[in-house]
Amino acid sequence: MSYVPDNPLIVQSDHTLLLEVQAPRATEARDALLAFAELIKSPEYVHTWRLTPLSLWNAAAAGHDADEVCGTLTSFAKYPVPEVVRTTVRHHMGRYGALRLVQDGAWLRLEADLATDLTEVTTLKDADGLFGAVLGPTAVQVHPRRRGELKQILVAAGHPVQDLVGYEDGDALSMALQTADAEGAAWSLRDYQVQAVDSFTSGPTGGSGVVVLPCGAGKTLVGIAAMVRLGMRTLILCTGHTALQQWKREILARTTLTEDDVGEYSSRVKELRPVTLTTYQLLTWRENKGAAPAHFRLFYEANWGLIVYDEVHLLPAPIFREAAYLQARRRLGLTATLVREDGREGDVFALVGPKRYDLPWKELERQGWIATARCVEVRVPLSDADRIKYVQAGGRQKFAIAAKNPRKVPVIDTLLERHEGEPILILGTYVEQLRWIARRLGIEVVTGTTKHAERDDIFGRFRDGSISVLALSKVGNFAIDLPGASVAIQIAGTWGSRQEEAQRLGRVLRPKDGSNQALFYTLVTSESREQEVAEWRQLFLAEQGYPYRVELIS
Amino acid sequence: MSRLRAVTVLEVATAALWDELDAQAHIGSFLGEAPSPTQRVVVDEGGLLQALAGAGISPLARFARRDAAEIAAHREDLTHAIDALRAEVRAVLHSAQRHALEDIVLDLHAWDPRRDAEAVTALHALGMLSRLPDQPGFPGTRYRLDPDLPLPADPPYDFCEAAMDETEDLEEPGPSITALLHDIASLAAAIQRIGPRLTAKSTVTKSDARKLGDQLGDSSLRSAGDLEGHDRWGRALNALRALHAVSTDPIKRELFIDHGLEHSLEGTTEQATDRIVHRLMDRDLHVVLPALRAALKDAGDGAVDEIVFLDLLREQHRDVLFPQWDSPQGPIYPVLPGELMRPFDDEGWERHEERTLRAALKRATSLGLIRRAPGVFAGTPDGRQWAGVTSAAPPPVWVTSDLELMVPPDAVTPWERFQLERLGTCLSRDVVDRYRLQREALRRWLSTHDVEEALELLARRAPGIPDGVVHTLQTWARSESRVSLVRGVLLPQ
Repeated sequence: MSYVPDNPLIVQSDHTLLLEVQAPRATEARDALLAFAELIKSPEYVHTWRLTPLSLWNAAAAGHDADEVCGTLTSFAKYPVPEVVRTTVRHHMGRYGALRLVQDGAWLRLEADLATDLTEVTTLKDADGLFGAVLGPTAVQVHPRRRGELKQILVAAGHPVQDLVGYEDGDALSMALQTADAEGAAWSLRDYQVQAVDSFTSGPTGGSGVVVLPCGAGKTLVGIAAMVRLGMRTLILCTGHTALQQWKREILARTTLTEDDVGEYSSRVKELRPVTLTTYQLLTWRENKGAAPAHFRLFYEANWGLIVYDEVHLLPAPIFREAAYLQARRRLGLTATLVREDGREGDVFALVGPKRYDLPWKELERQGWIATARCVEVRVPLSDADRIKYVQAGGRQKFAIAAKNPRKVPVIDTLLERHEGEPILILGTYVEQLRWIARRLGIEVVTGTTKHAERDDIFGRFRDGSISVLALSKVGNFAIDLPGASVAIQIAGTWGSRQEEAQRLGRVLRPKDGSNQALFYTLVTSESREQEVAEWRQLFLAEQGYPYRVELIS
Repeated sequence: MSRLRAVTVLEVATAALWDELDAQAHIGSFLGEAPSPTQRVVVDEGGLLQALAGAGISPLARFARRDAAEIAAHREDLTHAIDALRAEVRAVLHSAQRHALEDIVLDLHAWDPRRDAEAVTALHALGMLSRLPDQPGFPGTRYRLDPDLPLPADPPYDFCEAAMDETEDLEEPGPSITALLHDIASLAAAIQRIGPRLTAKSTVTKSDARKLGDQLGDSSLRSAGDLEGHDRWGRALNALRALHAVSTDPIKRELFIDHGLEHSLEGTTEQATDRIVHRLMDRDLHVVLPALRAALKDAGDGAVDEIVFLDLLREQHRDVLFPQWDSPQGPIYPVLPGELMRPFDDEGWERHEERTLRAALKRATSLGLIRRAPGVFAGTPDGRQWAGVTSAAPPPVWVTSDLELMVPPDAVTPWERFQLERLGTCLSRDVVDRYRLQREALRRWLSTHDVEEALELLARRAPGIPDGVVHTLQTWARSESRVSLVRGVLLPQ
């Protein structure tokens, strides 16, 4: 194959993939890359993607094979695909399934296709003490308690293990999905939600893994449907109290379960019921710095058949450690993005499971399940005085000065005027900045210190249209159901968090009546650290096909 | 015409800066007249630089350049003058240009001193040729051609009859000269940037070789630190040396790049290849190159029958190598006093020209332009490009807002490669080469060019340049050019 100028992709021998975004088949290529590569950066003209071991293992776990991946690369490539890339794809994808963990009486057995692979992993320093008796050149015993730890260590060493041990069934729980919603309207799962549940439960390793769906696509319903499909006692871990309440409402509305079946294990009440909802915050709470988390016993106090990790990309480190001991339980991770700012995507792969289902955001937009969104980055300069302060400040302080740039305020006024009457969310990070803006505009603000009852009241008034503009701090990043919001104005973000950007866009993606349009503005101080960081924040959304239009304020 | 003197001037971005500079560094005593409100002639450069350094000011060092408009106007005048020449005078001029090497021509090579004496005098009077002092023991007289003379068209050749299909016994192409040209350009830019020091054995020091590896985006050179022993860059260094484009500063023992290299790389890839081929090929074979190029062009994707090619060349341009001199005995080869006259006949062609032409083909093979088999030759991909057989539209270069450049294969000429590498550092050499624009590199660029030229360079191959990149480069340039020391400014005496 020689040079094909109209093709959009250049495959580099260092495993980066350069996608020319203005080329005729760029969108098609981007959708294809989502299955096995990850986006590194997305400036104008050329987006950089990369093939990583994890992206290839996830692809293999989702049923793609090396020939298919190489074929996709070749079909979109401008220049011949370097042989080293084909070799790498085959190597990494071939590794998924080359080591298998199976039941062997009371023990587990790690099996390898090649004796050399087994020798390599059994001689790993980190794996010292994890193995029992050697059962031959390609098999070795593993203690069931070390199942998660072993997978975690082997993933880090580049040897993903296909876990075929199976699961312990939890206590049976009889339940079904309702056929009508709370208002009596007929209701059923959407096709992609059914596919997601099928992917999670089927196959030799079915019962553990991650479902990736955009905000507003109904991940909660996928979780509920998985729970109903398995029919077992379930523990659901949520990001916070508001999310917990939403889960509870949905479970009661969509299933045949009653209040008596669904319990809340929170700071307020400690109910242990067939379906129990709790928060990451509560689970990781500890008496003092040196103490063990006080509520981890919840994992063992009942015979759970399924553990659901909502927003799995936020799973805190202590829960990872505990998750390592819960490998005999079925577990479902739900998220809009596999991106973790702490780089622990490998741990999610090892301990929760590989990606089971993923649907590009733009595909859902095309199907009309989420709103059509446009993203706009508005670049606002600093005043001369603030520029001097900025230049003299240190690294993080520079970012804060840029994020709190007072010149963003007149821009907010202009945007509110432009979208007068539409439901608007103002999203920030710095509470004092948000409060000041809220006072100035005479609008409600919800922060971490706002009482739950007050929050519920404010959200309720926003939902029923009594108020049309609402300011939210980071508490608004997750699982707040404000379906009417069609415009979001982000005035500051948390450093370079890609998942925060995605979650915040998600706030306005719920399908709307009428034009089904949403707008996401992000205000960024020009020529500042904030502008550089914004590029990183926008990466995940660019990967999903949401380019940012830049507006310059002079 | 008034006589000119070359001076160094201190130049500031705005006249208001003079007071600020004087207050900070007391530089008034080192400066003389003011050719313009923003320029002052430097009378004591050492003292000035010391005073500025004491105040923490590092002026941008620049070199004055000939004005492009002035060169263009001169070229236009010359074109008109050539058009007005009589045909035989023009023929002598073109012969001189074809036989010249770096604008120097030896009369014996280019014309019959007796028959063409009048034409030479006319060209001399017009300033197109100027006679150089005789060198003791050197036969003939050397002349310098006006460097702005437009190049003559190649002689009209027709080698269609020599074209044939490629044969299976044609040897594999040698190393690519186009790739070598790009490597020369890259290494030259890196040497300009780093100024690598030499060891006592005249090899580049390990630490500087590593720095070159960083600049060139080559991890193997970075880790080995052995430039001369490196397959790719060692070859490029040898080529630079063969071209006399790299020299050693005898005091600092640092490598530096001759400014003439930039001229050698100028123009399209075909032009740069042609120039480098001329530099690497024996001088007496240069005149064969247009014929070889024409033969490859006529052959297209096919090959050339060597015997037919030589026959056609003799028929169409018998004086390809030597001018025909007149004598009472008939046409003869050029002859020095005391030498025997040799008839300019077919036997002479076989004895002199054919042997030389075969030597030229051999050299073209080693330069990677052609592939040979007994009685046949064909162009390599480089040779065909050089001959103008293949001329696909180049792919675009991408400039992104994070100041990166992505350069696909065949997207830039060697000259553009040299300039792009001067503007940044190479992040990786791969299917597509990636560069990052850098402020320090732009500062060096500004010593010989201006920022608008940098933007023009980026724009000529890129579908668009993000506003942020334009803004950043202009801001850097403004900041770097606040105070400049411009050397070689010509002022009236």
